[in-house]
Formats: sequence, C-alpha cells, structure tokens
Amino acid sequence: MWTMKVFSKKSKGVSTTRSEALKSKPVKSSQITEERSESNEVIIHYPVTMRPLIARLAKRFGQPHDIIQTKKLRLDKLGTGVWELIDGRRSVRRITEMFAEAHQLQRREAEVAVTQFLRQLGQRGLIGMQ
Amino acid sequence: MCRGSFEELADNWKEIAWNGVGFRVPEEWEIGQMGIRHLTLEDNWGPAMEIKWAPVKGKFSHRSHLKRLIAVQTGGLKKTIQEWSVPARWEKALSGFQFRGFSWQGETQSGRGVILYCPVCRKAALIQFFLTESTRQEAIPLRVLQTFQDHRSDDQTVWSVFDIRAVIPANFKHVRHSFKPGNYELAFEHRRQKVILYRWAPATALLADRDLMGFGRTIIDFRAADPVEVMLEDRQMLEWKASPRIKWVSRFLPRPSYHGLRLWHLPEKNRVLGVKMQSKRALDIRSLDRICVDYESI
Repeated sequence: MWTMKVFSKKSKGVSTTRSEALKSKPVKSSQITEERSESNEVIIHYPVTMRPLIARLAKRFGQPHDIIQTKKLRLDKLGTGVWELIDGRRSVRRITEMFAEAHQLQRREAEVAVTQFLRQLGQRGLIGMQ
Repeated sequence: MCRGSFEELADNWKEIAWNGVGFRVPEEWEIGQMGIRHLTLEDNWGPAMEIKWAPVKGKFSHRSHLKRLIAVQTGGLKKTIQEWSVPARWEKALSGFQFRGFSWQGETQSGRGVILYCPVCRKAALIQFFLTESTRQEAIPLRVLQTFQDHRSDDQTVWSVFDIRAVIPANFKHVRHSFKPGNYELAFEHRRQKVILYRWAPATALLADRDLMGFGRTIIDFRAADPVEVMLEDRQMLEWKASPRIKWVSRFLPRPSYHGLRLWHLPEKNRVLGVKMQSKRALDIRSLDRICVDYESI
C-alpha cells in the first residue's frame, strides 16, 4: 500500500537564517596578502598558527612552538571572480546575483556555489561576515 | 482573483517535469528538495509547494489514504489535518482526476492541498501548497493544478528541472541524479542500456584553456579513439565511441559494453551538454540522436 509522510518539520527559523546569511557582507581578513599569478588568478597568503598537539611536541623537543606559518591558497578563475567581488559592502546575495549574471547561471546554482566557496574561505579565516 | 491578473501571471511561468509528472510554476519558484517521486518548491519566503506521487496497485481510496496521512503525522499537526472542500475553480482544473482536498494548520505554517488519483495511468499524487505570500494569491495554486499532468500519450517522459530539459523514452527508468553547482547528471536505464545526461557550466571557465575535445578527454572513462564531428540538426557535436573487441576468450568473460559519448557547446547559454549511452548490444544510434536533439538548456 502506498504511504507518504507529507509534512516534514520545517521551522521558520531555517529560512530566516538563510535569508540573514544572504544579507550578511563578507569582509577580507586584514592578516592576508594577495598576489596575482601569471594567468591573473589570485593567490592568497594567510597565517596559520601551529596546532596545539604539534606545538606541544615542538616544545618538548626544544623547538620554537609559537611560530606562525604562512600558507598559500591559489584560486581558480571562478574563485578569483568571487574574491574580487568581496569589498565589505556587497552582501552575499548581491555577490551571488553578480556571479550568476556574469556566468549566465541560475540564481539557486550560483547561490550554492558562492556560499560553499565563502564558507571554505571563512573556515580558513580568510574572510569574516558582518 | 480576476481573470485580468491571471493573464498577467501567464508569461512568468516555467515548466517543471520530473519522473512522469509535469506542471508549471511561477518563474521565481525554485526546486528545494527532490527525490525519485517527490519535489518541494520554494518561493522567496520558504516552502511553497510539495508534491509526491506513486503508482497504485489495486483499489485506491482517498478516505483511507487521508486517514493514513493523518496517522503518520506527529504532535499538534495531527489534530489539524482535515478534509477540505476545494473551490469550484480547483474542481474544474482537476476534472480529469478523482480527488479530495485537505487542509492543515501548524504552529508557524498552514497549508491546503489535494490527493489526486488518475484512473487512466493509475497514479496517485499528493499536492499541497504552503500558505505563503505567493500561494495566498488564488490564481497561483489554481494555475499549477490546471497545468498538472501525470501521463503522456507518446511513450516519452519529459524531464525539466533547473535549466535542463530532456525527453527520454518512457521505458528508461530514472536511476540516479546529481545537481551540483557546475555539474548536473541525470542517469536512466532500460534493460542493459544506460543513458546519462550531463550539463556543465559555466563553459567559459571550463573551456578557458582547452577546447571541447580536451574537456571531453577529462570525463571519458572508457577507451576511445579520437572523436568525430557529428552534425545533428543545427548542433555541432563531438562523438566518442568505443566497441568491445570480440575475442574467443571473451565468451567466458562478462559481456563488454558499447559506449558512446556526445558533447556539444552552447556558447549563447554558456553551457556544455553531453549525452552518454552505454549498452551490452550495439548502440541504438537513432535513439541517441533523438535524445540529443531533444536535450536542451533553457
């Protein structure tokens, strides 16, 4: 017999969060430096502190344990395009719209691509949200 | 809603077709969740519509199904689901179906819908509209229902979601789908024949430092010679083909497959489309041609 559970729980909060997330404005971290590759793609240099376990091991072996390393992140063409749109004034929604327009993408596809990318940048500490 | 405003809505609608059912929705509605026989659509405020459907074996009873529907709900919602007599315009729109309306009231949301049964194709469907800014306008749910179809007479199935539209022979069953940003895949199978539709975007980024042949080589997972150019209607495609080598030893091995992959670039849409066919027998080129002609980016 055919059955279905129709009404999955969808709290109003989820859509509000999405809406608020789209309103937020990404800001580049002040601790990063940028350069351009030969193909004009952005390379971001960003500081990384040593992981606690590694720091403890380094200390134990008499090595400096408070060194801040620098890592590099090379963006592709699409990533560079989004990076250039981050100016602290444009919202995620506006960046998504501009990205969709530039690449003739549908709004939802662009939104997923841009928000995933921004999330990855945020996890590395390259941007913050205001 | 008056006829005039209904006409105003008419231009900004798009087709959604998925696994045997099809209907039109306002342009700004987006697919939220999708399953093999399930779709939710969202407007700017959140979920706007949900549809589920399934073939029915034996007798279908709306009343017992509504009871079952209530039984599987939990919490306060269970008490609020009730039969609802649909407006006369809905009745007219659903004249080819046997149907019964229902409504419900949650803490933050409410909705109304219909359980439909089509005596021709023996499919049952549940369509419900969440009460949002857009579905409050009576014309929108009405238009959705007016355009709802659950079968065709030509043994073809239309698939129209996001920005792709394809027509696939009805005997090919959906086996998987993937809609990741930049890369869509939709796979079908009939007996030992598989068809996979691809869509990549944006083409300007994918083809920035290579041509279509170079791009094709990154996705071919079978041994194939250089592609040949195929002109199909006004589309210029690249076609890779691979046939199994028949040796006497192969009699004792699993039957090898025939493969064919066609790719074409749509510069005006900034997309690359592809169709792959795989079969244990020689490829049905006529069928492949038909699928390629009907497959488009909208």
